[in-house]
Amino acid sequence: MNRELRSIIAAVACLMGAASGCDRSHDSRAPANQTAATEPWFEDVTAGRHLTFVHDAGPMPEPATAHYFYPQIMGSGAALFDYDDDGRLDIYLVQNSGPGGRKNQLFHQNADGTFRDVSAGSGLDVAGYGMGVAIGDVNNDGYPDLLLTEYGRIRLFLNHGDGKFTDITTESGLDDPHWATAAAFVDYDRDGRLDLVVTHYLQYDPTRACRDRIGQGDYCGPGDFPGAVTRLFHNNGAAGGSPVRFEDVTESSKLSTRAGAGLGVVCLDFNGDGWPDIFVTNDGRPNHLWINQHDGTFTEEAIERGLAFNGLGAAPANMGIATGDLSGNGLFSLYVTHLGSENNTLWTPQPVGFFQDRTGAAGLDNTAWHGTGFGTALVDVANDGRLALVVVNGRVRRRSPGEASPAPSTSLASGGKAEPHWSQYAERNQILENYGGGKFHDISEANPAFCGIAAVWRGLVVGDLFNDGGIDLLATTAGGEAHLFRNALSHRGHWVVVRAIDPALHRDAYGARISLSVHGQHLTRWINPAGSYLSSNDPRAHFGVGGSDRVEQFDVLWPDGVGESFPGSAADRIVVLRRGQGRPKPTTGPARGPASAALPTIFVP
Amino acid sequence: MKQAPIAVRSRLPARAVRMLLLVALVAISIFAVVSVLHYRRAEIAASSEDDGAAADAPAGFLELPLNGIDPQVAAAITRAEAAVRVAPRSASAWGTLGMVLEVHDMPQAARVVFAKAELLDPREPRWSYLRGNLLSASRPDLALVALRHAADRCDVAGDGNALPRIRLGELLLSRQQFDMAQPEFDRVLRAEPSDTRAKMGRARCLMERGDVAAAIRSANECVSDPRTHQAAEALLAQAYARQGESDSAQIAAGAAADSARDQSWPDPFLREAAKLAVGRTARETLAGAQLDANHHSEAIDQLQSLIKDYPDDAVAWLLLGRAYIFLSDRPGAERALRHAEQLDPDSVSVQFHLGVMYRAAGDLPRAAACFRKAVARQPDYAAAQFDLGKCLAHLGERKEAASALREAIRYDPSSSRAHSELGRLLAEGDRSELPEAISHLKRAVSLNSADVPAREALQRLTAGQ
Repeated sequence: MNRELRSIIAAVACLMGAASGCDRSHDSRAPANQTAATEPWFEDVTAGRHLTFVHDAGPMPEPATAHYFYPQIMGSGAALFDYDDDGRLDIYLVQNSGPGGRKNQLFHQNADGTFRDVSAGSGLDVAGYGMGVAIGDVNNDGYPDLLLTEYGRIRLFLNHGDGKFTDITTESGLDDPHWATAAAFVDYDRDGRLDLVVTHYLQYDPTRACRDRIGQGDYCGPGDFPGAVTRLFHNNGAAGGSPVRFEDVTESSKLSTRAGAGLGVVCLDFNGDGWPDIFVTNDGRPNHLWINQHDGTFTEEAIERGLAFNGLGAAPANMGIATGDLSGNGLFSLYVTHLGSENNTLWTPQPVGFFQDRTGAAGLDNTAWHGTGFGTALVDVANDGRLALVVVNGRVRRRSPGEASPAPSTSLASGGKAEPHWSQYAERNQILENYGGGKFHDISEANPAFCGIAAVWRGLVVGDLFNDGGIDLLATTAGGEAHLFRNALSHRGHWVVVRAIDPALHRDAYGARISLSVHGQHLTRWINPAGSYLSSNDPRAHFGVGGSDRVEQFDVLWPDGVGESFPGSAADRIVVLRRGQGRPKPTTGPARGPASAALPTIFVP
Repeated sequence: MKQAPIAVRSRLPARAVRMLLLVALVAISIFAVVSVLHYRRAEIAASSEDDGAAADAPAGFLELPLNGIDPQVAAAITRAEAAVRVAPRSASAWGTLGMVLEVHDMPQAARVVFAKAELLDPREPRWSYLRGNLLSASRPDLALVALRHAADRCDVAGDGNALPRIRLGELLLSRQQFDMAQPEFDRVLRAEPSDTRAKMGRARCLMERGDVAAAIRSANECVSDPRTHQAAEALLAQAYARQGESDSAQIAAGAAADSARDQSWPDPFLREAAKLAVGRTARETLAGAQLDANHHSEAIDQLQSLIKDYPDDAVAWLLLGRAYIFLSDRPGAERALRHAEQLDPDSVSVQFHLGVMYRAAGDLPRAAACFRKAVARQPDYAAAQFDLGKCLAHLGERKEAASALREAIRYDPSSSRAHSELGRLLAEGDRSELPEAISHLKRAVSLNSADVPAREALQRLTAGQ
């Protein structure tokens, strides 16, 4: 009888199991422990802060000829940087309507948080097929300089600190006639001078016409053209009357050995040996991870370290990059944006130096809806120590007939008027809240200001624009307005913003790692403005410390591998850590670890 | 006290208990079946709501705006919609409409239509499979249900089609549900032990679950299959690296990086849908694929038919020219490419292929002229710079040849053949050029160790020093 009963119960259980039918364990749309995000995180303050910028992508394509100028759909980026060292972040926005088109704009932030267009006469008011921007003090004079990437060239502008910039591209030795996209400054050889990495997209044939499957003209895709290599320029310092002289070391560094279709770049220590490596996202091709060999050369190790392909072995449309420590162990994860027909990928470090696709496990493959992601960032918006994901979206291929528009009213382009061409590519943005345990959920619906406007979003820069401890966002669109979103959370936690400076170099210590502990929780951030898509973020490190009104200690691992501890401070302030003013802190790892060892260890300052 | 339950049981006749439980079982079974059906319907409806239309909407509900699109595509959609109107209860008609929409890049509309076909004929795996595929990126939770249904229907049909189950396993894998994914691959492998795609899926599961040695064994079985070669080598590289076998990891990673993208897997469902693709772009794509597969005669037939329907299609004329180049039919190639040039006078690609044609015919001056036009319009076209350099070298214009080859390297420093060509060209010059020649030859050999001419030239030069 017992056995009979058990059999029947088992059968019933089986049937009930069948009835449940599907697995819902990864349904991130309604997690059990989700905190209701009723309060919008951001408000659009573009108009109120007098930020007036309309991106000009050049003449609209003529559908009959199917000649769609590819750089047009890729949009342009932006930068947050304090060009005059007044303690407030300023804004630079890039155009791409060609040499005779609208000029890039520089906005100075006033003391009241509004912006003033100071482009005219600044030297940065230039026109071209502008793509991206990188910020770095190339001559160590204390003023951040600006590198502009364009379709067909790059340009370096030296900052004089008085609101004037000089184009020193030629005398600096920079020659890069390709379709340049993302760029980053990094001192890869630890000589104290910032070197330059520039990614290139494609060998694009502008005379080629492309059509979609229903015969209409449309933008081409990366598979239609040969790829290009990422270039590395070594900073040789002042030479021949020029304040800085770069040497193209692409070949000698071995970066020339593999071509890709680069759209994003991040320079961080990926294998834990204390030296900066170079990660490049390639659109529709395997990503590249150039591991620093400490002798001026790099080896490409994305495949063996798990970052070339996603978990299924595919190379999707890799574009924007976000990095951040999601697990509180001092190691960074990477989030890379893709097409709407794919899933953006989250790679987490497991173990040190190796990465695994954990997109599904984090609930990021089942978001409320999908877009084609470009700019992205991992940011602590609520100042609770948890990094949320922000993503800006916009299609690269026209919406097909019958495909629902992402928003009932499309607010786009010039003067708020909908531009028919761009509306076919418009999508909404997304915010994915980190609710702990490595899980995210989509709170876009509760954030109409940032996520409710459909546009062809491209660049995204993040930072504490108003020095109030709240992370703000600036997003650009192709053929439309740039939007400034202020952090609107009324009950944010305490915070600290850290600027790490090497006085000997008179500049921010790019590549430095800052760590602090709050109530047993370890928080780690990097001084690393390059990332996202074609953009340069706030160069300072932002920490949300929740209910703690004090930080006990700051630990810094400087770019050359030297550790230093600094006394703590009260929270809710901007802290400047100057190298040499703290207490030396030995690192637990070797000062010069193995470049490509299978299981390298990371420094723990 | 301990005996009480026994006493209770003993008071109830065993037969009555069995009857009671049987009734309960039947009731629960009915509930379960209804729940399954309801759930599936709800899932289908949910996915349909995403598309802004209800799954059980009447035929013609799509109302796709067809103005401005390729007339052949519009006609195909209209025909398929008409078939649905004639037989609104026909799953096949709905499914065909879905396939027509899918192959013309209308995934949202296709999903809704497949859902309708699925409701009308739940026994047919095709519609669930195709809908599951379309949902796999945007709604993997719903895609899992659809693919599982398709896999189960294939099992019931006993037709040996493991594709839906493999896709189900791969989707679970992509969601990091390794414990659930591996049994799906194992099930396929029990029925067909040589299924490489399932083996690859299994290898990934094993790797993720920490059984690196078993993952290596499984991946090694996939290396020789051109459809899994790159994927297997990449997985092996990761596995070896995790085990600390750096040399093996580097070798596998190099093999993965140097190999072409894995060939796509045959998919009978998608192949059936692909047959419904019509219009200019689909036919251009097909002709391009035929050219890539060296099916030149088929490509020419396809292109001639395409040109008949679209006489102003410069791309079709260009492809036709390329096909004739492959067949060494210079008059045919020249006629087609010149026609393409008339239609698209600025085209870089037309000039490049004219250059290729003249070079193949031995007419190097005209070839060089065409390559010059190509690079004038697109200076970063490294392949055209290379071909220009090679032509000029053969024409004895050493200085200009070296200049073009330097440009080829400037725009593509990863080109081993450009380094090789330039190195050998400079090696024939005066001594002042030898250091540069050696540098390029070294680069050529390091980029392509199989470049024998570069290696020999390098040996000669270094021996001479």
